[in-house]
Amino acid sequence: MKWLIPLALLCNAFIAQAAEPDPAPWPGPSLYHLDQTWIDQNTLEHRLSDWAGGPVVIALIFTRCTYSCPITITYLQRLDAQLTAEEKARTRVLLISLDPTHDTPAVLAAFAEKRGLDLKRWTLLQGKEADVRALSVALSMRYKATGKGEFSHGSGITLLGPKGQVRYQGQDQAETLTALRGK
Amino acid sequence: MGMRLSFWAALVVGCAPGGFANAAPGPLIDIPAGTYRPLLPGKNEPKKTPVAAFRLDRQPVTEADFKRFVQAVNKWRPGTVPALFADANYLSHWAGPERLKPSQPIVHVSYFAADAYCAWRDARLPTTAEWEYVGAASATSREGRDDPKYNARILEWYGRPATAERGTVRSQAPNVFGVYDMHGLIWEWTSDFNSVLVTGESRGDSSLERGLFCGAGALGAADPSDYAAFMRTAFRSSLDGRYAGVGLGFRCAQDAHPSSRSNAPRSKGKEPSK
Repeated sequence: MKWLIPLALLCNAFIAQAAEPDPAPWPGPSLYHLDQTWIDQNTLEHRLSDWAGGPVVIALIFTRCTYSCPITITYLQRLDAQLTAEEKARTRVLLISLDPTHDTPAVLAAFAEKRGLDLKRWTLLQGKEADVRALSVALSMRYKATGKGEFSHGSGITLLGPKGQVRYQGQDQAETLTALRGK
Repeated sequence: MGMRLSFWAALVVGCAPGGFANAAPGPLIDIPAGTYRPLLPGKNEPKKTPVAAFRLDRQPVTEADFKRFVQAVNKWRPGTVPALFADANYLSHWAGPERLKPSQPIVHVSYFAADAYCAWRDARLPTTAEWEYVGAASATSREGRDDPKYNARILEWYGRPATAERGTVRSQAPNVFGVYDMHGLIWEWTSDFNSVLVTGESRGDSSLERGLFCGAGALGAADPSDYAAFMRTAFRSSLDGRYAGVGLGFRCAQDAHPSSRSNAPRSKGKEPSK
């Protein structure tokens, strides 16, 4: 009968794992509480919290966008060009597709190559439609599929701090840099 | 012998992971396919949007329903939810002096809380199109707007102060789909509430610029006399997903042939260790 107690303890430990949520290391408003998984242009799986530790710039785009998304990407490339080497080493850029049905990893990879994106520091992500919607709500961004592969959407970028808190949202280069360099 | 057997039974039962999972299926009803007329159709959108057949809760999620959920899923207890997912008003009425009835619709729930509840029931939030399609119906017609008193009744309810006591579900007759309380009780979350794009000028909100939106084009309202739809559109455009305010609740929906909760195929790969 001696083995019953260790067995009971083991079961209790198992229950404790299953029932209690892990205490999150993220502050309350951190985007890293989102635990959905995303697939990048190389078909590797990620969670957003994988990018914790440095500034992260997020833009919601779709590869067939011919209006504001190219402008946003150019904006981000210009932002990158203004970073110091040390800032560049810490900063990452995420382009997340609003159109996961069309923007598969292969499509994202081809798009990245066509635009000459620095894939050492930029990642393009495909998610489930429901997860894209949840992310957009978490970012207070709006978008709508308007038919024929088109999306109406806000074009501002989001800057996250090292722990996933929103530091800046909008389209102003100077303000983005200030927020990135701020405390 | 009896003691040992009950001990083993308790051990086996206690080891079951996660508890006995989801609640009994909610009160979903089949809604047949149809069309609805969006208030602000986009440039490429048809004036009459088809809505596929789906299932919708006959009534809003109640206080009793949501209490069961919070008891089953610890991380949605008030005080445990990160600020990303709900503001400080989340379930604030449970700690207040108000005497609550189990069959009142739940309120003070954020988008994320509502979404999590529906997922717990293997369901989802209805889309705005689905909600508006069912919401267009009166007790006798799919097009409530045909009844002159219909809009008047809704607007009369919108005119009441938010502090008026919340009624209980199913106090009024259902609409022609057999669905209760689409109007007259609470405002309701939809899965894509943030797909409503409103330019700044009409609401005097100068921080929201037209230039922020691509593909917006010229959005004209389909029926300027449907002021109730305007109200709901304006309300949805004012919402943030964390907002857990008074008078805002939800009901759940389900695909007619439910498979996985979210759609869109996705190529998968294994992540190498970072």
